[in-house]
Amino acid sequence: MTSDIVIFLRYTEILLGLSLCIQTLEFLWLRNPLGPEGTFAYSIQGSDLAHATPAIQTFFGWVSRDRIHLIHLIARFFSSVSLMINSPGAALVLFLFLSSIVILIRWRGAFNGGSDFMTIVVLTGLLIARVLDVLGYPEIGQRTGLLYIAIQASTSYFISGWVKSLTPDWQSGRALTWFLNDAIFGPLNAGSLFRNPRIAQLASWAFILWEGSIPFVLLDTQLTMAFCATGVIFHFLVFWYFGLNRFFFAWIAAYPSLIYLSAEVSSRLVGR
Amino acid sequence: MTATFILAGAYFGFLFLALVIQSQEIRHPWLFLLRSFLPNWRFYSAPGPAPRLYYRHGCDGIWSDWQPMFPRFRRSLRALVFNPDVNLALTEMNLVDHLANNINDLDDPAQIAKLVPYRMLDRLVRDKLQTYLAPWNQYQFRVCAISPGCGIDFETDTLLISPMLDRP
Repeated sequence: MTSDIVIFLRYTEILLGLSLCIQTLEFLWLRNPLGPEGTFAYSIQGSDLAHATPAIQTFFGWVSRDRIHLIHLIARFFSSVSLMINSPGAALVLFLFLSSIVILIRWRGAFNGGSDFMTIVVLTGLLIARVLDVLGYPEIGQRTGLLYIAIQASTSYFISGWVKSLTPDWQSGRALTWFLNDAIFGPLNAGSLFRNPRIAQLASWAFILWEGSIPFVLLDTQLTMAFCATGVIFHFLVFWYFGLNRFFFAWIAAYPSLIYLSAEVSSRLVGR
Repeated sequence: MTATFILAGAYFGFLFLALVIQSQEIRHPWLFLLRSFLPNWRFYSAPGPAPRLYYRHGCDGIWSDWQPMFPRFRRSLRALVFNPDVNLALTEMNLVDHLANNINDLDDPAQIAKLVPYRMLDRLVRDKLQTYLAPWNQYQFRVCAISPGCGIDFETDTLLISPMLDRP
């Protein structure tokens, strides 16, 4: 497999742009909770920034105004569309990166946990690529950016699998049934397959082995592509059972970098 | 080639050790607000007591039963690309988690009402009650920690119960 780094970076930008578009449309829909009468009104949430400098507090007071927040989100939406359509400049990626930080702070540090983390990781990787490009090191930037994303993504899968493998409730499959019962869509149906301890255990170990296999999978590009294809199904199931739609798009945006890393590793180590 | 193998092995070995050796939790307001930069490797790692929010409303001293704050949602395929209500509910549930953590960390329980998550949940409950047609002039909320696989027992599971609050 030819590791055409520019194409891998472009796919990353397109997938991240799609993820950011969806996130931004949802934020546009959710302006009321951040408004003056909302649960996350700045008159309350501003206390989170009591330790910050007056300049930072003034800035957040300003971006929290209804009109400014709306303009910010519209600019973010069109920037995300632009990210999908054209290869972006450093300024556009920097804007999306800073915009993400502002939004996350307004939602008390996280809106959707792991998807926020992976969005920041992919944006950071793109920022590394674009800033080094501006500084005259395009190839080093592209490589470093993609490797940064790939290492963060593979580490997250690996550690998540290991943590589960060391936890007795995951080993037995009980944890899966508990989490599914406690999910936002309500308890499992009485006849659900996941109420069967054997099925729950089998499914748990399937997830554990899939997540924990990433260091070995990266040695072969075909295996990595199979890992990513399984990941699409895995993240769809996470959406279907836990309602976490943002995870689906945020994590899939990291897959081109995983395939790139695998192509690099396999070409260097195995000589393919 | 060997050096790359050693580096990769050392990297994943380091990660494994980081899992086994429990590190001390770092607490700083900026770290809390910028925690999305830090990987949460223990996501869904082990089931534990889940904090939940309940509320009730009163009218002239007659109180309703305690009700869970968050509704169960219906699944839809469309939500894959547009799911704001579920995502908002999950974020509001995180507020309950934050308040539960703050309760455990607080030296002076009298300070609880000044905490950001307390004030936000207070407003969330009030907003919910605004949609009620039944008359009410007081309300109250409580945070309970429910163990996995168990039902709610208000006597033993309550972490916090607010005063009876007047409708603003």
